[in-house]
This record gives sequence, C-alpha cells and structure tokens, in this order.
Amino acid sequence: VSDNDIVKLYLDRSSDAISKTAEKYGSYCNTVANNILGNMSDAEECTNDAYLKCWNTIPPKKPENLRTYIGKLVRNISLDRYKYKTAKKRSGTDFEAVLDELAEIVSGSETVESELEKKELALAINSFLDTVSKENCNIFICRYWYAHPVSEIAKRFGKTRGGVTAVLSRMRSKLKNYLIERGYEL
Amino acid sequence: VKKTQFFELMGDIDENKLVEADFAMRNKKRITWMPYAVSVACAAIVVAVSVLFLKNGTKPVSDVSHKIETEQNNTVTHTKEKNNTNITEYAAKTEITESENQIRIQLTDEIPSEKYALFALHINDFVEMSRDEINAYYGTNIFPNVPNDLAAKETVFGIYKSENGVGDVYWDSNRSEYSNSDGSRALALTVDKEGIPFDFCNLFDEPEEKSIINDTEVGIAKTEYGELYAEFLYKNAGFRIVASGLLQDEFVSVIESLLKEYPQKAVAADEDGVYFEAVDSEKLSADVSDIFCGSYINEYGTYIVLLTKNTPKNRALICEELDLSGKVDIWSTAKYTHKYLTELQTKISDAMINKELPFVVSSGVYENLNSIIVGVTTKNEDDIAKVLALDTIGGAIQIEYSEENFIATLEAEIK
Repeated sequence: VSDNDIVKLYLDRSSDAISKTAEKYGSYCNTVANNILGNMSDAEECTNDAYLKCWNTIPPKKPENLRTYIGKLVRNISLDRYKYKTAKKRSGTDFEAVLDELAEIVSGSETVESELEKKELALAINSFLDTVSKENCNIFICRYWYAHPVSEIAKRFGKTRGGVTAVLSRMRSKLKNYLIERGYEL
Repeated sequence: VKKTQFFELMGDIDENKLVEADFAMRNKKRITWMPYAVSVACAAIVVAVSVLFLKNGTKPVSDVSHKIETEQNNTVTHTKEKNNTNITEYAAKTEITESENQIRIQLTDEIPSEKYALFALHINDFVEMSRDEINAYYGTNIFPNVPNDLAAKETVFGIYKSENGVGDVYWDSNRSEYSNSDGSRALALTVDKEGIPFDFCNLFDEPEEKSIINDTEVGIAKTEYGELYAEFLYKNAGFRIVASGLLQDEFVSVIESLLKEYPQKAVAADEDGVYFEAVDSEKLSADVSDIFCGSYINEYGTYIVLLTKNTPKNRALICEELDLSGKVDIWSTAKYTHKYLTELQTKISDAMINKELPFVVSSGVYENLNSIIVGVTTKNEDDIAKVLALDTIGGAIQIEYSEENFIATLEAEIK
C-alpha cells in the first residue's frame, strides 16, 4: 500500500487507516520508540499513541512522506514519555548515552524558550549538517534523531564501533563550535 | 539548553536528511543495489541469492549482548563479551589440508549485506574478458573449485573503463554464482581488485577472529540457519563469498581452492582465436575416458566441456577426475570420445612416420570440432580412403586438401 493510499484512508476517515499504517510502519515506529525508551512495551504504547495522533491530525494535515511524519510523532511522544519516566532517576538505557553525548554540545543550564529561537537553532543544525559529508550526516542523524545504537550504526555503515564513535565525537565538537561561532548560547 | 531539549530540537531537521539517513540505515541491511548496467545474468544472480537466503530465513539483528565461546577440540576454553552482536566463535584445526590451517568460524545473526552501489555504469564502458583475462586482471584465480553438484551460472565477466572502455577502470567488481539443480545449495562469489568487495563487514575487527588458510587471513562467519560468509584478501584481489546449504568443510575447501598460486596458462590461440585445453586421455580412468569428448576455451573465454551424454552423473565424474568443479561454463555433447580421437591421431601419426601415408602432411585433434583434421596433398580417393579407414567409427576425420601442401611436398621431393 502506498503512502498516498494510506493518507487517503485517513482523509476518508476509514477505519483501515490505522491498521494499514501499523502494517507498514509498525515495526519502524517501535524501533524509533524503543531506541529512546529501551522498553518494548512502552515503545508499543507510544507507537499506538502515534497512530492515534495521525488519526487526529490527518486531516487537516496531509503529509507527503508518511514515514517521516509518523516517525516524528512517535519520536516526540517517546521523548515525552522518557522525560516523564526519568524525571527522578537515570534510565541507564542507550538513549541516556545519546543524551549524554549531546550534553557535550550544550551547557545544560540555559533553555531556549521561544519558538522562534528553537526554529533558528534547528535551522543552524541543519545548515551545519550541510557542511559535512553525506555519510557523516547520515550517521549523525541515525544517532541523534533515530537514537540508533552505535553498534547498529557501525554494522550498517561498515564501520567499527570505535569508528562511529570517533565520527560522532568529531561532529559534536564541530557542531558546538559552529553554533558558538554563530552566536548561539548553548 | 538541556540535552533533552537539544534532542527535541533535532526533531526539526530537514525531512530530506531524515529520509536519506533512514534509507541508508535500512537499505544497507538487506537490499542489494547492483548497478543495473551490469549484465542481466549478474542481476539474476543477485535475485537468486537473495531469494535463496530469504527462503532459508534471516533473523533481524538484535542488540542483545551475547557471549562468545571459543571451542577447541570440542572443549570450551574461554568466554568473553562482545559488543552487541550475537557471535559465537569456534576454533578448531581443519582436517581439509595437512597445512597449519586454523579455522575460526564466527556465528552471526545475519550475513553482512553488500554495500549498495548506486551509481551509473555505462554499458559502452564495459570491457568483456575471458576467464584467463579476468584472472590475469586480478592477478589470481577467481574461479573456485566448488562441490560437484554445483554448476556455474552463465556469467559475463569484465570491467568498466571510462571513455567507452579505453580510459581508467572505474568498476571492476565481478560476481559469479554456483548452485545445485534445486537451488538448495548455492554459492556466490564477488571479487574486487585491491580491496574486499563492498568492504562492509565489521565481524572481524581483530586478527584473532580470523581463520588462517594457506597462510592467508580469512574472515569466516555463519548464521544459525547455516548460511556461510567469508571475506579475504589474496594477492591483489578481495573476495566476498556467501553460501547456503554447503557444509563447513566444503566451504573451507572452496576458499582454499582460491588461495593457491595461479598457474598462468600459456595457451596459444590459433588463427581463429580458438584456445585449446590439453587433457591426457591416457591418464583418464576408464569411466571418464568413455564419456569425455574434449574441452576447450573459445574466443569469448567460455570453458566448454564435451561429453558423450550430458548427465549430472557424467558431469560429476568429469569434475572429480579433472578437477573442473566450478570451472566449466558450458557442458555439451559430442560423438567421439577424447580417447578415441587421440588414439586415432596416434594411428595416423604412426602411419605418417612409417611413410604409409606420404600424402598426409598434417594431422591434429581439434577438440572444439570433436574431430581430427588431416591435411593432405592429394585428391586421390583411394589415398584418402586409406586415411579414413583408420577411423573405425567413421566421421571423425575431416580431410583438408591444400594446394600449398601439395607444392611443399613436391619441392621436398625434388630436393
């Protein structure tokens, strides 16, 4: 089933919309959620929440790429759940390691409040990624967007774990300098 | 900025980048992108092997850490943890050869997939090569000895050179595949010059994880479903082999057959560009000499073997005795056995030496024609009948009358 067909089911308010989404993207959503939560049961719940959010947002939205659309939904939902669950304690999951790596870029004190600032920062990260090689960009996104484990990225990109870790470390350092040079107070 | 907020901000990354990263992550796992300009035969091989492995089933990668167990002579000697990959390592001395081969086979949850190559290959740049030429290009033999029941799929070998085949080489990956009749046993080999094809596997980070075969480091892995994988560099060539349905020893034998000095064959081409393979019929066993009709490599580099009857049993017999497993491109049938032709040739030669056939100036076995061509200086039917009489079956001799031969003979007689 094509994305267009599934989106049309949502637009038609067909009950098949969610089952077809689950059929096509269930495993993908579970992976994204599980990468963040480290718990398949929680991941499945977030995936179901993402289906529901799809149902509630399409229409009016009409995503061109359903995969990334639902990927973003499940990522945000999983992150919210992660924050809720780990408000008082460290989870010890691989996602914690992802965040710890990102902590090298940020100070941890300041908070970007306004939506405008958030958008600008996101744009800056985007433009930074335009300056790196396609492979490094993919590795960076696999780690810090999809929160894939380093071992998995290494396997997929034909590198050793050490190699991926080194790439990510260099990129974090470069990104930090890139943002500081452009006046962002991290 | 807090780290979770930064992660959240990353959520607004350009969608195209997300798609690309996602694509890279997913497709390097299973989907093999082969350049579509490669011959249809190559493409068919990719599909065949993929189907084969899918049929046998592959398991998704898990992040669960597993133990590595090293066995020596069936005894577990030590256990260690390894990074998030399901691997069991076995070490045992191979019984394949008398050399000090050390076979270590790692268990993995999936065969490392090929890195996709998504760039255009122009068919005009393709330079087709014979088996000898492609071996010479790689600097080693790339055609393994495979188990007798595996037959080579017809494949066109060659390299891609820019500027319509005269510039620099920009793609030299070649792939060959072998399988039995029902596809339950199959082997695919990919070879690249100066590097392991699609160097992608990180199963063998440490030298001690590799096998030593014929003094060469070879990374070998297998899945719980029995699929086998090997990657190694030998001479100037990098090999990547995947197999299904083969026994471990068979797989090691295949690898071993590639790790040998490649005898550069000095086969001269005749005027038609036809190369001949020499097989000494006298050394053949009775079983084989009764079915073997000859072998040759044509101008396209195709290795053809002729049999009286082209049956699996006969092919297996020939492969075993002549060590031709995996080397034959085409099996075909012919009327006269090689033994018969060489014996007939001996009779003609003896008669020439004894001057019983003074009008015969040349005689030779032509394996590609499955006959003997006898050059004569006469058109006298009685004389020619004397030659043909030696052919007890009939039809194996082709007479070639040559005016030049005739003149040469006259000149010799005058002197």
